[in-house]
Amino acid sequence: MEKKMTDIIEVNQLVKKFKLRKKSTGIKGLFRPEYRNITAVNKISFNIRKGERVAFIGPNGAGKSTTIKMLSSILYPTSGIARVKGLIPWENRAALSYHIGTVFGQRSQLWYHLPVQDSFALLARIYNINDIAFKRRLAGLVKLFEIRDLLPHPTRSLSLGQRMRCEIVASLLHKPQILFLDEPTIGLDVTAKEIIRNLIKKQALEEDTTLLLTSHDTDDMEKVCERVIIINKGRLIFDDSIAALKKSYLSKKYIEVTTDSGEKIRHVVNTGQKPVKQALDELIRQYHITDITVENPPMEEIIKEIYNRD
Amino acid sequence: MTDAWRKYAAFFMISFKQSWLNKGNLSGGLLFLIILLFTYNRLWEVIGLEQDQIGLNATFVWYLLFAEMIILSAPRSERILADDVKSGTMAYYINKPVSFFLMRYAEALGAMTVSYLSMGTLGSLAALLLTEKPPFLWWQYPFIFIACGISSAINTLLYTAIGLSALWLENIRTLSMAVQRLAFIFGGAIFPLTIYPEWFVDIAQWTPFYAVYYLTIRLVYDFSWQNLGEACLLNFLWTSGIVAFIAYAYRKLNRRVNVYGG
Amino acid sequence: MGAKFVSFCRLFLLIQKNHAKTAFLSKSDAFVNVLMMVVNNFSFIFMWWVIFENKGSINGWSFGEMALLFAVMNNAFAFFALFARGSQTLPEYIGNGSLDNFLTTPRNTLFMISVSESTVANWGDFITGFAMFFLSGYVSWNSFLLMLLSSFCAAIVTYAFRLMVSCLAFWAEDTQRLGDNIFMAFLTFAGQPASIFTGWYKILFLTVIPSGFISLYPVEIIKNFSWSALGWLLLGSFGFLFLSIKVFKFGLRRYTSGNRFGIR
Repeated sequence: MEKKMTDIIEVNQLVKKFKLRKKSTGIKGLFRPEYRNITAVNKISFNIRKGERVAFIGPNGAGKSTTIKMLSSILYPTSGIARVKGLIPWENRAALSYHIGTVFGQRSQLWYHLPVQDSFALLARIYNINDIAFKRRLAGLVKLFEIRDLLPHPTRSLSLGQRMRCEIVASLLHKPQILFLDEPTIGLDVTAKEIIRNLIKKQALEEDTTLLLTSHDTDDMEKVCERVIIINKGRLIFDDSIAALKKSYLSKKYIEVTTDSGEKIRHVVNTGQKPVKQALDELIRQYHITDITVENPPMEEIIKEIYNRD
Repeated sequence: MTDAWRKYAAFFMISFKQSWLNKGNLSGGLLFLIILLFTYNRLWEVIGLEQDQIGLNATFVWYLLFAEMIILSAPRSERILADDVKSGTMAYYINKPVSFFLMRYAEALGAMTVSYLSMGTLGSLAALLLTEKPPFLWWQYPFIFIACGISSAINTLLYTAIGLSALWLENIRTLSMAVQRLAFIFGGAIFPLTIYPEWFVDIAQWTPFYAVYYLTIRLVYDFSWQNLGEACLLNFLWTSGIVAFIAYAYRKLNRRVNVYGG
Repeated sequence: MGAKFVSFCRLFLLIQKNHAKTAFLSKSDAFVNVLMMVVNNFSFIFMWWVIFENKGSINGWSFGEMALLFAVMNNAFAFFALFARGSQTLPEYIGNGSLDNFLTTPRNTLFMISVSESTVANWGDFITGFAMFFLSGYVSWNSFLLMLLSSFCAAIVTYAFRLMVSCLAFWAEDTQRLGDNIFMAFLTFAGQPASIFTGWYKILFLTVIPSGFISLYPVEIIKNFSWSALGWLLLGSFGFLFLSIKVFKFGLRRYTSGNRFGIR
């Protein structure tokens, strides 16, 4: 009972099916199109506590975006139930919108030709924020996201990374308690990705914002989130902390040694069968070693392994 | 030479197929054509009744059909080309062994041909139902059909060329709309030029619209070898003019792409 | 209720201000576009003027009635294109999933979509509309106010029809040009002397393609005012508005947020 009180998002047996029209040729297809059903989300259930930072990971078409879109009131589910801040999203669109912010990486809410600050002012009006509160709020966000210099510039003149910072600020103006981010780093270069990740995390920690983030990039989840939900083919296949993910799937170590002849040798050790110490001893006996590194497998590999086991 | 021809024929075919498959697009154009015929048929019926001239509407309905076949079958190629010019897509084609303009024109012709043929078939049936008897003799029909088809190809060339003017103009949408309106009045593409005052026809004669639209469509109600010859000659002259403009614009464009890299 | 209405109006004005700002980034471009629109409109009017010069009148309509029709039609289209053009862009929003942005705001989704686009060139329609009113020969304060009222009702019908046509995109792909063509047919219908549609044509003209609410009733009301004509106009325009909102809400349940094209 106590746990239920603090759950800000509850998802129970959520299902979403899409009807896709088969591309058909000729007159027949025009009058009697054929359809096939796709189950994008298949009986997914989970709960999220206030202030948690959760990553939604899965391959293309796994149903991550569809789930987020149902929780942010964009899509109606086929069946199942979800509550966000106690409200059923698709039935309480307007009421819920004050509590949630959404950032869709490939869709802009900023006016393309106008200065960024004009879009912010419009959003303030849309969310009924009074002038004083808006100015105070904007000042805080401008400082946090370091966008003071960008405010007078039209959106079209911004780089993708700058634009993304402004998009996030735009969705935080009304101080939402939950922020949905769909592919927030897509298309960005390595440095810009790093900046965005840090900012998202910093903001969430400072204001105790609940984060739900989807991404292709496993670095996004490692650097921003504490918990990970993995979806494959519409089904939930893993839901635990990132530490637990690592522990349970980290049965491998990557050992790389450099010999005195300058040769680099890579070794994969399955720690279940052979302790790391034993493997190292064997290597030392075998080669004249000048350098040695022991690493966990990259997150990519872990995820791939989980998909394969599924 | 034959290889080059085959290349553009391939662009034509692929666009032809795609337009044929895009049923939404195709049926939209057809629906509009039918409603237009129906509406104006009603208008001429009423005007004709008042003047006690039964059969007047047959001339106008068939006239309108061919006029609209020319105008509506043109795909919106000017928008595609203008986007290409602005976005610099053109630059990617500079190192490819095709002429960008001819490629786009061949594609536009493919789309046009699908619309023209389907509008011609369905429109002729509709016009036949509305009027019972066309104002021309049956053996003249193929000549009119082909002559208007050529006019439609020239019309498509004109619109594709408008796309190139995005080099100088920020917004080509209003220009293409203005050209369409000029076609409607100077080319007599809704009401034939015979109803307009003389001073107006005198002006219209000096515009390309007169040749490309009016002279060709006139064959519907006034078919003679002499009229056909006149239409062909004047169309040829104006087409040369359009081609000269395209060649000029294209050279400018290539230079610009070379200088700025697209 | 009052406060809510004020906040609504302020939002509307701010969005319009942003549209104007965008449009006037290039003043010469905006000016040329407006001018071209006026020229466009008058070339069309010229065509009809020629017809009436030849024929005198068509089923009781002379050029004066036609001028009133052009006044109402152009003003109505200006209202539509400047303040509710987003209804025309709706199929695009549905197709590429950008409808998402409108769904997550606390404001009415349909309102946000409708005002999301505005085309500056259509200020030229207001110029044409007012000019045609003064050229119609029916100039008085009374008829001016009636002209404004019926233009507004005609704008509502235009909007409602466009919205219903746009909603096709909720059910089928590739409906953009189909919708554009149906809408064009609606406008072509509206631009004819209403007197040519009698009997069955008239019924069609007020139901399936409701262009009659642009041409028939407005002209009648300005020419010889009657409460019944005004009643029909109001009933028709708000009836269609109500219907179109229902269709939109029904369609929205089928919205797939770009997934229809996303998964292949």
